[in-house]
Amino acid sequence: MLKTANLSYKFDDKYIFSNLSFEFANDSVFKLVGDNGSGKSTLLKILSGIYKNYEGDLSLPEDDLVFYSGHKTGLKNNLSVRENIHFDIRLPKISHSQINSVLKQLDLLDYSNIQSAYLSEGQKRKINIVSFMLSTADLYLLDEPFNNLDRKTTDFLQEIFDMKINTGAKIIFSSHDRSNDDFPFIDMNLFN
Amino acid sequence: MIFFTKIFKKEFLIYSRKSSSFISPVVFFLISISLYPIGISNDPDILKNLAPGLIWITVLLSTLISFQNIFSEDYEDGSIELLLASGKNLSLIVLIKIFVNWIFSCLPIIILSVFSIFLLYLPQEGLRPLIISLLIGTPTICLFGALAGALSLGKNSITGPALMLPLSLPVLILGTQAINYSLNDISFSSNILLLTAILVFLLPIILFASVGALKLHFN
Repeated sequence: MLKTANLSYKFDDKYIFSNLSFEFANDSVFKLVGDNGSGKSTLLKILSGIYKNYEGDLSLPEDDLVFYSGHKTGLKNNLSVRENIHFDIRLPKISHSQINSVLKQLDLLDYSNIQSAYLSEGQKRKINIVSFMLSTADLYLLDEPFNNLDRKTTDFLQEIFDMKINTGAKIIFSSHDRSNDDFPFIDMNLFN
Repeated sequence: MIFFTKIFKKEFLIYSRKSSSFISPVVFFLISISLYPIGISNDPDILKNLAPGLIWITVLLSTLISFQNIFSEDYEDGSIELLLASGKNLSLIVLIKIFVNWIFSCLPIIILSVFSIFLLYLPQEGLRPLIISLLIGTPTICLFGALAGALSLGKNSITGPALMLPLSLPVLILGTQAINYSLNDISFSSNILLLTAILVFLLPIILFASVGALKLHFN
């Protein structure tokens, strides 16, 4: 069970957030909302193990496979779309047919052999969605996954969320969107 | 193991597509050793005596070109964050990156150093210690380069070389000395053994330090 107790993070002697305590046990999805600089990305980086110098307690399920997707896509400009997915370190060994199938669903099949340097920001985000779909992780930490996406892809990503939840996976994601949806959320502004 | 094979293949493909990673050091090396006879002297006796030092200094400077950016691209595109989040052994990943970089930036130069026989009048008996010392010495220089690259991430481009050059001096001295010993009919095996000892001793320490330096940028 993912659990934090009085979790705080300080940068340049200023607390980004402090005394954050929550449990992620019964819910399948958790949404982090808050203003810019409220610590949403920082919290996801702490949970993924990138940032270690936090204060307070954090416990993560030991055997859970974690998939992290940040603001930066990690794509290599001189590798093609297909190669970037094939060599994605977060993914298990995947066949070409599996990659093709997912690329087709996201209208990226025609771009599969194009180097990612020539893609738009939205298309790069879509490649990260491909990795998200192909991953077999238990816990997904996604930093603003709905940014730079068109309506169709946003709806599609929502469907992938449902699909992952049905397989027993858990998702924590950040968003600026405070619209009413069914997701339980943490307002990071309350901990600044 | 599959994970690390994937990293190796990925790095190899990236470097093989990035022509500047191996062409720049090679061109720099060839231009430099071609200019020495023009700039210093075309007297074979003078060049023959200076050749060991000139070759090693040129190799060192050629390596600088490629190594100061070993981690910068990964830092900018977010790959290092993904590696840190993967929870895998970062030392092994850094070792793979250094090895692939060595293949593309140092190995071609070591092969081309054979031309120094013609351009710098290096006697043939100096070729064997030259190749052996470069094969054993350049990986150590690459390790220093990786550490300097990790420490100077996000800083100006002079920080890396300023850290790397002083550290590389013992390797430079031992490598040059090995060739000079051979030219004077003295056994150069002790120098090669020392170069090997430096490499074996520093390998785990510098890998550990490089990983620590990379993590520092995220804490």
